[in-house]
Amino acid sequence: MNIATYLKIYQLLKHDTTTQEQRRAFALQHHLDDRAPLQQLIAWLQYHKQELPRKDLASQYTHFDELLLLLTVLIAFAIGFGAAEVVLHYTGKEPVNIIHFLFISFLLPLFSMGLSLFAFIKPTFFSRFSLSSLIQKLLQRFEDKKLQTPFLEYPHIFQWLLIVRIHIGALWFALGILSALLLNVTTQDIAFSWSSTLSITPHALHQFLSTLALPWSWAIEQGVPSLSLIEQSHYFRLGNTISQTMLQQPQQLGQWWKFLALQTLFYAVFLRLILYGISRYKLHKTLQKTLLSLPEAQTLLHQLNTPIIQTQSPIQEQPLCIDDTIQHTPYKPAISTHYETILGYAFNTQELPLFAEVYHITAKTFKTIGGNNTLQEDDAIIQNLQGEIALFVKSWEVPTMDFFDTMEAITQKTPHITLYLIGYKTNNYKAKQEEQALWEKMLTHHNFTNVRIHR
Amino acid sequence: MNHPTFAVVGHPNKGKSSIVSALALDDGVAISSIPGTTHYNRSYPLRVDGKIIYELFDTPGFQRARKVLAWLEQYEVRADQKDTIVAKFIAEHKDDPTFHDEIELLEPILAGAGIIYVVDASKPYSSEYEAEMEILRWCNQPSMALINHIEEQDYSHEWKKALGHYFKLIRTYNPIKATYQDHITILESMAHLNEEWMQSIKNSIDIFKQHHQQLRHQAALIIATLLQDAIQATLKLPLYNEALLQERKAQLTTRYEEHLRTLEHKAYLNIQHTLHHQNLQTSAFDLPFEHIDLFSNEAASLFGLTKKELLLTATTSGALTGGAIDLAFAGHTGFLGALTGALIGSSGAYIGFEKLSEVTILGKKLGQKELLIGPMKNRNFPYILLGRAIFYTHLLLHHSHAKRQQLKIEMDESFKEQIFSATTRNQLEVYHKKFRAKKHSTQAIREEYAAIIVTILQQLDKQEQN
Repeated sequence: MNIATYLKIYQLLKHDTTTQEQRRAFALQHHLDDRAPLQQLIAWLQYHKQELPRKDLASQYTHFDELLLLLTVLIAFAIGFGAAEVVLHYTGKEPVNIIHFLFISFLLPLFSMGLSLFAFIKPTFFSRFSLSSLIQKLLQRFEDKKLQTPFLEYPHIFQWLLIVRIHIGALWFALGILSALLLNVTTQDIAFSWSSTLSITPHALHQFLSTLALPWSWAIEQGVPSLSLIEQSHYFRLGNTISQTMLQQPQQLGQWWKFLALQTLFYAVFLRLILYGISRYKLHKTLQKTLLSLPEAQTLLHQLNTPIIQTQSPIQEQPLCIDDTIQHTPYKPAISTHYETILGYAFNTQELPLFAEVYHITAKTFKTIGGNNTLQEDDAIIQNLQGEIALFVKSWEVPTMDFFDTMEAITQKTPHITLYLIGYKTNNYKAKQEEQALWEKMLTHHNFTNVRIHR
Repeated sequence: MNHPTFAVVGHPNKGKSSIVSALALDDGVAISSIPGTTHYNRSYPLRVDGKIIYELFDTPGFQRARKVLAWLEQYEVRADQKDTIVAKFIAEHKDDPTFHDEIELLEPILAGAGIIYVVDASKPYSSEYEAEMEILRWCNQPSMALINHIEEQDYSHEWKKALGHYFKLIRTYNPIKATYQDHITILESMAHLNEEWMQSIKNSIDIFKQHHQQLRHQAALIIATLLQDAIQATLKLPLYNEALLQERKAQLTTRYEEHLRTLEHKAYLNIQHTLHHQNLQTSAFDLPFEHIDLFSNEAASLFGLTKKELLLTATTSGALTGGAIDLAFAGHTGFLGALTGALIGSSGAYIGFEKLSEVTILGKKLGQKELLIGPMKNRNFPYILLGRAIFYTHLLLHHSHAKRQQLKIEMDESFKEQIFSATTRNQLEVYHKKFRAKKHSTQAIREEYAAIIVTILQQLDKQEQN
């Protein structure tokens, strides 16, 4: 994960208009592993990158960043080189004080690396400095105004970017110092010495420098300044003259360069490289974490990884409507108490006299139609019908077309039919109001408006 | 068909469409007391990522069963060939409107669907159903009977005896009262109809469980967003004339309350839609709790915390925050941190119990001022809002998609004790604080808050089952 990828995904997510179904289809098509959310986002980017504008946020930032990086490298190298040139300036009158060189090649880098370590713990530390705010404002110029700023919204990214750039600068600063040192020792004869107002014995300095040289002393013995070299190169600025001790073996004074080069390489370059590596890693992790915590990314990942479960019918049902505007024929109350035949639709024949008694009606014959009867049996009964007919039906059972077919056949034999809706025993065999209303509606709908219903 | 299919068939008006509506979690299925509402067979597939796991067919009721049976019985064939005669019937009468409903219900069965025959055991058994059951036997497909109870009477005993002659399995299922567990039980029964369907149906049970969890999580996230938006809501009103200060304050407060009501209403609609209750009957602009005002004392006492509970929660939460400081200093503070935190927490809760929020005056350039109300200062209000939302969601989660009546909200004070235990209150208070401090309000915080809501909903489900 680098900043360009982050910005591309960021911009894509902000402008994305895909539906949940499209996202899920993408995940299934590409067999994305839901345990690797970052890979999912990158795969998403690869698939949709053509939707990004030509001059997207990432390309704008990259262009700006490359320029800035080049400037940083050049300036840092120049400063390092220049600083080294200053401290290594040898006129021949005085030897070069290695303490000055150690200051810029050892102390200064260590100090800045110490600050850097502090920044690892608290990355927002650098936001206190106005330079950081200035750089943030510069970055803003290159951000899409329509988008929420990817850096200011998530300052941790910006802080790590800054830390990485600082390390690059510091690294090239150190390389400048090293280059200057190597150039000078190659092109001229330099006498190195050490000089300090502090009461440092050669022995103490030897111990200190041997400790500093531990990382390479096992491999390069010449890289460790010997005690005799240290004793010999102790310079006292008294009377502006070179001491006799130093003049005894002048060629030794130049041997310091190995130590100086190696300590620059180790402490200013190598350690800096490690910190640079760590800060790159932290930037990488911060970018990952920030990307994965973007609300749009979380929504996308959720929709990529969540199966779309649907249980509903895709088409809205249009129910069959019964026209309520049709006027129900006002039914005349039944006036007959005696019928030619009492028919029971889907009743047992034995039940019919009981119902007749409830409704105080009588009949010559009781017959059962519908129910378990065959169609031929029904036909035979209907053929013999004449006169007034009472038809008992179950009020709780809605009439089907089988019933209406039967009614059709009956009405063709005789028009004088009275319907009795038989309810539950618990209701004295009387129908409920809603059952009555339903039957009336159904009969009207099927044009049996002449059939009387007993109320 | 490669996946299991089931045709829900039966006499008209026995609850077939209600059963399909409940099993398919679809409140758009046309249900009516008028028989013949369903005129065509319609598929309700369970789909995962577009792939059909199983299909339910809602069908019209039998209309002319005796005629169809009479036609079939004119052919004397072996039992294993009876389905071919049914196929012949369909082929010959495809364009005959007389048998339209029978064709619609038989077609999916002949295409391989298992039969789910629905009866209403709140009505007495009658021999007129036997023609229907006999026709279904001719189809030679695995079949089960579902006993529904539309009304309160129970004639199950006589029904079971009769159904046992025709069907492999008999189960009772009331789509109006059925719980999520009942749904799963029916699916398990459907799996036993055909050995080949066992694995698919078992997968679908896992899918339903996953779906139920997803719906609960989505609803919880909506509630979390509602709480965050409501707590963080602010409104401004320009103040042109200082003499009208009180009037403008009152105006702003009214607008603020209305805004909160609107937020709540939108969240409830969102929850409805998420739980597939798009057609749930409720008035367009009314709150679900029509008879209870969000800001009334009754609402506060029903869902909010009592003063005592609020003080206890605020004190505990404040003490915990202060205690962290004590810990940082290894106790050298003499636990003053915890004590101070507790005092600050409790006094804040005590003072802020009655008012919703402060109206402050903001000064702007050129002397123009404006009034600002919000964010929410009242410590109790989030609990009121949350309690209502959880109550509503819990009702919807258990509201059958077969029900067509308006959802009645009958609030019960004991509900509050079920959802806001002392531990839960402490957990919630932490997040309410984070919502108040806007800079901490991230998606991750909402997700964590939603997780607490999911836990509460799960606990409510368990309590209902027990």
